[in-house]
Amino acid sequence: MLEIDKLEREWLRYRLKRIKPWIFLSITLLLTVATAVWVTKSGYNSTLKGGGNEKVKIAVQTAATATDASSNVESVSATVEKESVTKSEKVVERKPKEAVSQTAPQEKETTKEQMRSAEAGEPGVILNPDTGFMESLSAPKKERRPQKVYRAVETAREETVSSSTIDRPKSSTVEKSADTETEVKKKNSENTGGSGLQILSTKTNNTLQLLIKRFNRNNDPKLASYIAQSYYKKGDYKEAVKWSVAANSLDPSGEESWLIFARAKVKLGKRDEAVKALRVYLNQYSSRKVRSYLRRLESKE
Amino acid sequence: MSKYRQLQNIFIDRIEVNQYIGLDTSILFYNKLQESIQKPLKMILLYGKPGTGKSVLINKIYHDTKDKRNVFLISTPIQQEEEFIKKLYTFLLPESTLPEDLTYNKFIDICNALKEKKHITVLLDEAQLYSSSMMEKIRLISDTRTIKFVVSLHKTEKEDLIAKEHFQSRIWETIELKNGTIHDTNMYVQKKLIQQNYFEIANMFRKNNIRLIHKFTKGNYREINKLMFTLFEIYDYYETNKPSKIAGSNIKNKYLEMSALKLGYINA
Ligand SMILES: Nc1ncnc2c1ncn2[C@@H]1O[C@H](COP(=O)(O)OP(=O)(O)OP(=O)(O)O)[C@@H](O)[C@H]1O
Ligand SMILES: [Mg+2]
Repeated sequence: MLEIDKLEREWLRYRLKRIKPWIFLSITLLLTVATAVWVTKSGYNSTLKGGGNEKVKIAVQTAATATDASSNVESVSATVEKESVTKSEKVVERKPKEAVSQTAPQEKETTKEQMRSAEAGEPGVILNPDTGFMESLSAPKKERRPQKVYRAVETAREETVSSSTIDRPKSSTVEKSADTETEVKKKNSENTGGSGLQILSTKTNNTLQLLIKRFNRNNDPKLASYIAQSYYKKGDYKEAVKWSVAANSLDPSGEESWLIFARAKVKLGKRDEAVKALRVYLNQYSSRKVRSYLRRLESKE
Repeated sequence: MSKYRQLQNIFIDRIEVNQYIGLDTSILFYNKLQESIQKPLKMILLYGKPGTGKSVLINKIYHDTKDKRNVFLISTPIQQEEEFIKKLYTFLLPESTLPEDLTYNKFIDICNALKEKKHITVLLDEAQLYSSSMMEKIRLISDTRTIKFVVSLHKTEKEDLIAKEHFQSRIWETIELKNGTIHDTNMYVQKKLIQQNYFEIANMFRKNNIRLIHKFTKGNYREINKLMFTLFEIYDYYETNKPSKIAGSNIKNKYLEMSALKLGYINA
């Protein structure tokens, strides 16, 4: 018999054990950065007043946008000062997501406030939260959206922080609970268009060919969906569309085929078609997955 | 039976030729073994750690051999010498009736008499279970060149055997089966599920899941089976008790880790 509760508890212990060294690392990291900032403080102030102004401003904005409102910024500085791990971790975790959805710098006031406080001699406010963000970003590929911000932040940082901090280990974001980890990974793969199963894609041709043959025999809509998904993972979005349509015509109620269709369309730069299709689907069927994806698409518009 | 129960069943250890999966490495070994069987060798040694697919391979080879008059399989060792010899006799001369007093020496004579006239290949699975005196007799039979043996056994026993002098002097063709690569692991999981029409489930296994499975099992197929079985056991539990916990379009690494904890691959 399966003793799920016991297993769940064991799993929690296991996770905790794995996260411990990372918590320790983040504390050390924060301490080092804080010290580095302290040491280079005077040099930093002169940069602020000079030509480096623009870049630092962007860095400040990132810090600001990462938190929801200006009041939160204070909490960031408070966090940094106290070097409390938990809070700063939260900030680090949120940043990449929020940064993606933010398009225009709306909170000018906040920025100015920030600037002032920075000039007043609290450079830690700007720099500390940024580092974690950077490190969590340095792993993924180049096409990632937040890159613009990232670069700016990097330049700003390079100018101020000594290079010794650059090759610090990855931030603790990676070591969150398993669930967040998968979520982040999923996001990454969606952004880069990479597949969850790249291995499959390198040598699948044969398998895929076999599956197509099999489909031609049995016309199984699920199989067509699977083929569509495989093409999607390989980055062949046109084929993915073709097969999702095939799956769809055999079984219009299956949400999977609609989702692949929409995702592939988005990849092909036809977001409006994707949105339209999903709306059509939701008119007839209810699906949480489809609804949440549609909402995500619409919010990006 | 619930979906996850059925999925558990897919990963029960068993040797069924129609469920053979052509993985990159297994196809390689398959071809290698087929070639070796064609060569004029006396013995072929197939070895590797438990669960690397030796029995699966040997069964597949046997199954695929069109000419059943020339290739035979003994999947469970016959410990009794007398019984073993009788079996070989029926393989070699299926039409003639079994002599009453068939001894080992008599059988060697028969083999020598058949030299140049008849050749058969006998596949011996789980050969680590044969005693060393029995192995020595098998070797002597192979010296007549009437019967070629394909001997499949665990790795450690092979090292034992090789150490024994009488085997060192013989010409062996050896094939070592190894654990699968991460690519094999992926293919194995995917194909196992697709074979049984579980396309959606196959899709739920993402790259990070496979990486974790490979890390826990080291690509050993028997261990992969065990891990997958336990994973679906957990999914089955949640489906009946807390379905919200398994909602979503991927396999959660958490449940893979829980399976690994249960199987002792990792500990808390
Ligand atoms: N190519 C394959 N296709 C399908 N299943 C496989 C394949 N290779 C291994 N397996 C799976 O792995 C399991 C273990 O393989 P197998 O029994 O052949 O190992 P073995 O090397 O003979 O181990 P032992 O040394 O303990 O006898 C099988 O029950 C089967 O489910
Ligand atoms: Mg075996």
